[in-house]
This record gives sequence, C-alpha cells and structure tokens, in this order.
Amino acid sequence: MNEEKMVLSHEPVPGYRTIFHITVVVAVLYLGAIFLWPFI
Amino acid sequence: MTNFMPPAAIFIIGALFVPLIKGKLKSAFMLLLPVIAFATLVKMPEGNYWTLNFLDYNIIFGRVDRLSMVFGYIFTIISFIGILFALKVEDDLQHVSALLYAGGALGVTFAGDFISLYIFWELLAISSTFLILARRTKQSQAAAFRYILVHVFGGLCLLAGIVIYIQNSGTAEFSYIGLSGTGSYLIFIGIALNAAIPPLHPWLQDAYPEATVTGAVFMSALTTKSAVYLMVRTFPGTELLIWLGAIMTAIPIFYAVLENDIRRVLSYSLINQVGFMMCGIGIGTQLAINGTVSHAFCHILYKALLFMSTGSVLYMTGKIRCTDLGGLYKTMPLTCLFCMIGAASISAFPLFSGFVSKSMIISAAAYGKMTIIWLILQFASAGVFHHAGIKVPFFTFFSEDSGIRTKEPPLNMLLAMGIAAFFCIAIAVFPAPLYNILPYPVDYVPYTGAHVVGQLQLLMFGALAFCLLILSGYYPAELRAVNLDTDWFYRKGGRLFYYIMDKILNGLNSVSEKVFVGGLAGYLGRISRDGPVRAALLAMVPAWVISGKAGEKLDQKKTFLRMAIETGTSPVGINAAWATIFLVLVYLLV
Repeated sequence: MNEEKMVLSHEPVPGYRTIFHITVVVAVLYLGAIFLWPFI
Repeated sequence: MTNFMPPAAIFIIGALFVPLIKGKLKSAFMLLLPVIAFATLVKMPEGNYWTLNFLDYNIIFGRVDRLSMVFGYIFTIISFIGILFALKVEDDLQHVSALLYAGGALGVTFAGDFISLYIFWELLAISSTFLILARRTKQSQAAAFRYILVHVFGGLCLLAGIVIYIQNSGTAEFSYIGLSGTGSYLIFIGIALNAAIPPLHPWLQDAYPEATVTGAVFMSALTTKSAVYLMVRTFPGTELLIWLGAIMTAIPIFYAVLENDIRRVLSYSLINQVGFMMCGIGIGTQLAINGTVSHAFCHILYKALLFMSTGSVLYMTGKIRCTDLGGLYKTMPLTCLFCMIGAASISAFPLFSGFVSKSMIISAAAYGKMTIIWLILQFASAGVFHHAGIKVPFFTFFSEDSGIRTKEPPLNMLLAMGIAAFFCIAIAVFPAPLYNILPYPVDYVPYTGAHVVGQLQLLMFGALAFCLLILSGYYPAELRAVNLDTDWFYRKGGRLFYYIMDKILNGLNSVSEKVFVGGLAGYLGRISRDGPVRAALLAMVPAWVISGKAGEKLDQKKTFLRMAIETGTSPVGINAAWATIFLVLVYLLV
C-alpha cells in the first residue's frame, strides 16, 4: 500500500526561520540575565 | 506466613503449566497467577521467610521490608497488565518466558542473600532473551545474541564480586555494601550493566526494539528496575551514582532525537528515566530514595503504557518507524489517547504520574545544593518531553499522513492500556497511597504553585522549541539507519578486532607452518629417515680423505656405505665396532 520512505525531512515553512532566530536570541539573553543577575 | 508460596515461585511454577493448558482456561490461569501473587504480597508482614541452609550459608527467599514490598507490588501489577496485553498471542514460548521473567524479578526483589539473588538474576537474563528470540527475525536473533553475551558478562562480574564478598564477610546475606574493595566494585558493575548505566547501556536500545510486541512491555518494566531496586538496597548515597545518573539523563536525549524507530526512541527515554533514579540513589537522602522508588513505580506503568501503545501500532500495521507512520489518530483514536497519557506522564505534566515522583528527585538535588546536577536534571526533563512526550505520539499518530488505514488492536490490548493509563492518572491525582508505601515517611507536597507553574513553563517552552524546530526546518530528518552508540565497540569494533586478530593470528599460524612444519619438521624428517647414513658418512668421510681417497673413489666409498646401511648389509665387524664405541661412551658419560 505504502512504499517505505528512506527519509522523513522537515521542510521550512516561510517566515519561521526568522521567528526561530529571534526566539533563540531572546532566550539566550533571558537565560544570560538570570545567570548573571547574582553577579551584577 | 511460610504456609504461602513465595511470589516468585507462583510465577515460575505457573509458567511450567502454561503449555499444558489450552484455550480460555489458559488465559484465566495466566491472569490468575499475578492475582494470587498480589494477594500473597498483601498478607506478607515484614521479616525473613522461606529460609534454608545451603553449604553453611543462609539462603533467604523472602526478605520482606518496605523497600522490597514496593517493588513486589509494582512487578506484580505490571505482570498482570503485561499478561492481559499478551493474552491473544498464541505462542507459548512468549508466555512461559514472560512468566519466568516476572518470577525472576520477584525473586531478585525478595532475595535476602547473594546466592539466591544470583540464581534469579540469571533467570532474568535468560528468560528475557527468549522474549527477543521469539520475534523470530534475523535482526532479533542477532540482537538476542548480543543481549545474552552482554548479560553473561554482567552476570560474571556480579558472580566474581559475590564470591569475593562472601569470602571476605563470611556470609551470603547482604544489605548496604558501598564502594569499597574489588568485590563491591564488581558487584556494582554487574548491577550497573542491568541498570544500563553508560557506557554499559547500549544493549538496551539494541534489544528492546527487537523484542516481540508483548515481550518489550515486560522488558521495559523488569530488568532495569530490578537493578534499580538492588542499587537502592546496596549502594545508596554513592556519590559516583549522582554523576553517572546525570550523564544517563542527558546523553540519550541526543540519540533519541536522531532515532527513526519509535521503540528505540522509547528505549533511550527509558535510559534517561533510569538516570533520574540513579541520581536519586546517589544523593541518598530519604527524599531522594523515596523519589527514586516512587519514580520507578510510576515509570514502570507509563513506560509499559508507551510500549503497549506503540506495540499496538506495530501489531496492527507491521511498521514502527517515523518514516512509515503518521496520521494514525484517525483509525486508532483510543491507542492514540493512551499513548498521549503515557507521554504526558513521562513528561511530568501536572495531574500525570511523573509529576509526583520525578520532582522528588529534582527537589532532593536542589535541597542538597547540587546546582549543576539540578540544571542537568531540568535539561533532561525538557529533553524527555521533547522526544518521548512529543516526538513519539506526534510522528506515530499525527505528522504527515502515511495513508495507513487500520483499526484498534484487540480488546485485551486496549484493556491493558486502559488499566495502565488509569494508574498513571490516579497516582498523580491521589499520590497518598503511593507515598504511604514508600521506604521512608513522606513529607512532600507535589502540588505547590511554584512547582506547577515552574513545570508548566518548562514543558511549554519545550513544546515551543519543538514547534519552531519543525517549522523552521532545523529539526533533524528521520533516516532509515541504525545509529550506533557505545555498541560500536562490539558491533563495528568487534569486527575490527576480529579482522586484526585474523590477520595477526593467521599470519602467525602461516609463519609457524612454514618454519615448524615445512622447515624444521621437514629437516627432522629427513634426519630421521636417513640419519644413520648421514652419521656414518660424517664419521667415515674425514677418515677416507685423510687416507688419500678422493674424487671417484671417494664417491664409490660413499655409495657403498649408503647402500650397506640402507640394506642392512654392512659387515658384522663394523656394527660390532659401533656398538663397542657406544657402550664406551655410555660408560664414560654415566
């Protein structure tokens, strides 16, 4: 019925790469602020 | 008390009768075994029972205390669920193996001495091997072979440790051991192998996905958790376990993300979850031990539920890879629901069982001011949600529609999943009954505002990360491939080792053949064949040369002497002269 796939890849949905990068930057800044807060 | 049969014996003796019974009576008989065992457990007061003297050592088949009772209860409950799930399987090999396996796990749990422990420990290894072999594929046979080799190695380490322990202590009874001396290290390695502590873990993700649909349910519950029980009993508070456990929680996450086989993903998440337990044992406080035991209890249920739901998919579709599945929620809604409950439980969502157990271990790390360990455990919590909580149900039941149209598995399978799902929710909503049977008094409140909000934050951000990774195309593609872990050393490295040994040993063999067979042996053969002629020529030729014989005459003399010795026609006087010379030599030398 169904041929066995060799690869199941995930194609990017337009616009989401930008959102992903923004989120990562915000997350890194947020975590950085939390970890560095005791030293500031 | 001793009027009752030990719970292990109920399963082991019951297993022997299974092939003799047919039809519905067999189903009823198999379901009755865990019920009888559970009824026996409930009536067992604390103490030592079913003891006997063997070679001047006390053998204790029934050490009953709060720790062994918790594991006894859950092993019996999961055996009932597993048997119910496997009820329609018409393969006595699987039924007998599963019952012996459950008997072995209960035997380990209640063993009060190392001799009976070792016997049940080996029963675990051997009976579980048949649950892999019973799938009867080439891959399962190879995996079973690797599995038993690894476990024989672990068993031998344990045996060597036990022998040293008994030699030093003079008793076979055991409780806390701790890491001190060769014997304890060997026992530790033996247990660590069954607990799948890295780098001794690859047998797990190698063997469990190759087991039968029903066999994997028993395997996910019994081997590693027997080792957890034994580790709690013998090595609580061992600092090494904190770090090994932390590594164990973190590393499988990366492999699980890459895996294509759903049951291999679950195997990695099993290692991750046992890592939490090892961490708890290493921390060793009352809260940590309670957390470990309760997490083992909950984990057995939700992991079995996940293996049952994915096993049902394999049973109904014959497929288990992400690349082949997707969209099954349309035709298997109940199985999908049960899988989601298992996924929520392993992810420790509030109102699901992992929430009330795993948090005790993480809190114990926080109370012990182990910041790095606490961070690793939080990372691992997010990781397990990602692969077991989202990836497993998403790629199996949702994702891209594979076009597979099937139906729900048989009623007994749905019932088994339903019971496990019920426990997953009931324990989370009413944790008090579980807390009441834990080894130490529990003073822990799981449902606080900070804990609920903190955990939901972790889970929601984990879900956000997964969504963004998928939508942005950064999520690694699922490939039809076998990802090797530290099993490289005996799967690929073993071949390399074989190649090198082949070249070295066969090369040595070839040289030896040339030197000793073709060379030295040939020379000795020639010597032994015409030795007397050579000896005689060696003695006579110098004399003939001195007396002036040369050229043709010398050759004639040589030919004559050779013929005379070969045909035995040399003059009697010469033989007599040789005999005299030898006698004189013997006289002088002796």
